[in-house]
Amino acid sequence: MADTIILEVARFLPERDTEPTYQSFEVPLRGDWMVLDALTYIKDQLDGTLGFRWSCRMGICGSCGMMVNGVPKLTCETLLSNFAPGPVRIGPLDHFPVIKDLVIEMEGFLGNLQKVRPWIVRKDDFKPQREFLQTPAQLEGFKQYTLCINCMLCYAACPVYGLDPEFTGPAAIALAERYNLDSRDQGAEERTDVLSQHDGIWDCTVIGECSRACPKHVDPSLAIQQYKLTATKEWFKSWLLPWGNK
Amino acid sequence: MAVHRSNRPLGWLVFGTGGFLVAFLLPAQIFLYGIAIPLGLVPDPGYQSTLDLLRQPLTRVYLFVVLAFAFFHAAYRMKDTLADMLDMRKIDIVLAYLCYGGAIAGTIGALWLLWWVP
Amino acid sequence: MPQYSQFQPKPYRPRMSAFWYFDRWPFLLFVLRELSSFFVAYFAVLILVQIYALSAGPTAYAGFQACLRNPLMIILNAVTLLFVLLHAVTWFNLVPRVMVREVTGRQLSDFLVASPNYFVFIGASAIVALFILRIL
Repeated sequence: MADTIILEVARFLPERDTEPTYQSFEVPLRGDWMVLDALTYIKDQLDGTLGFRWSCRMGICGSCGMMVNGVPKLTCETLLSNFAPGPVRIGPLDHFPVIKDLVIEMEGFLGNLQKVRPWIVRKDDFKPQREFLQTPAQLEGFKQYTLCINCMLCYAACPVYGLDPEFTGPAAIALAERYNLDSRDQGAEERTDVLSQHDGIWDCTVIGECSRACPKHVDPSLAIQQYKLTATKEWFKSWLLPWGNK
Repeated sequence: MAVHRSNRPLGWLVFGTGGFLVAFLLPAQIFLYGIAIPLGLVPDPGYQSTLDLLRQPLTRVYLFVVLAFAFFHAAYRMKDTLADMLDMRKIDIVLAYLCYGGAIAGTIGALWLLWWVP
Repeated sequence: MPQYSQFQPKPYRPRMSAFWYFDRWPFLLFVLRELSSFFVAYFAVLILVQIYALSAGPTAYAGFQACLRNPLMIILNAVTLLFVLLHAVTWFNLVPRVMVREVTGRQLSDFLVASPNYFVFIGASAIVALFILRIL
């Protein structure tokens, strides 16, 4: 293994540039380094003006998502030596506006997240006297979708989101489904109003790249298709039983 | 409900059913009528024998169901693909009329032809 | 979106290339899968033509069959078969596991969910073949 590896990092300063350019840095190639370590080395030793997000450096906060050789990855979980001899191209997450260097604007995603109301919604005035009981089978029904860390790699992987930023997107829909399937929740109808729009679940053409990109194996594509089934059942009910609106 | 929900579910359900029918039933028919019989890989059943098969009410119903679902399955996917490739997602209503219009025409054509088999 | 003031620099908004599906192999496979729908529509129309030719009489049907023997038609139908098989394989690997998940709330292994479909495919194809070849 060579001593060093070249990183081609996207640089963009809005006051100066109209579009990102790539700057090359030579960093040590240590066997236990992640791509994030290499970026931190660049910022510490080579160019302190490089901007990028990171936090937990252990794959749970979802901050460090970037494009590594065209594939969306969590840089704290991506082994640098996998790309030897290099060079490695690091860019900001696809399909999001770029504020500076590797930092993207995530308001669009946060708006989508908010509109699906990803919290327990109750219709009654719920003041529990004891714990809410849930069987293991009930938990298993939605547990997989709780693992989402909001890292937005699925949005970077999804061409539909790239073509249509109004699309609700994989993570938001998976989280909506997580709450719909939770036995404690009663907000399925409200969420279905939002998600039954054209840019809700129906924009999805089942490409499946979101599930491949997900570092936590949430499988948002499965959640979206499951939601399509639910939405279809609801649609038929609303036509066949229009008086059943509670 | 004050919010208008998309009517996609109906098209999607037909698309799904059609997808299964096409996947299970069409390949054998394509292979036999389109490749094996013209190339002589299998014995040609012949005009009279095939006509006898077509005349059966069961065959007519089978063909109508498979064709109708195949047309609407194809229409759903063609509309989405054309909308993506021509960047017409916002005005895909035009493509909807085109694709589903074609599917309706094909289904009516199938009904007509299958009804008037001598 | 936050309101940017007049002097605040604007973020860079990337545009997707019109040929985005050539960027990565899974995208190309997806587009090919979607294109199979055109071939399904084509073959459905061909079946209609075949029904018409059968109804029109032995000479018409002989003409239709002669047309099918044209090398270009053979190639077209072979390509159609490949596309419809692509549709079938991708369908078996994608759709049944959603139905399993919805009905049981659990995820079985992908292999367990997909493999019964192949058996049904073989069975259905055999039955269709027996009818077409007039053995049944």
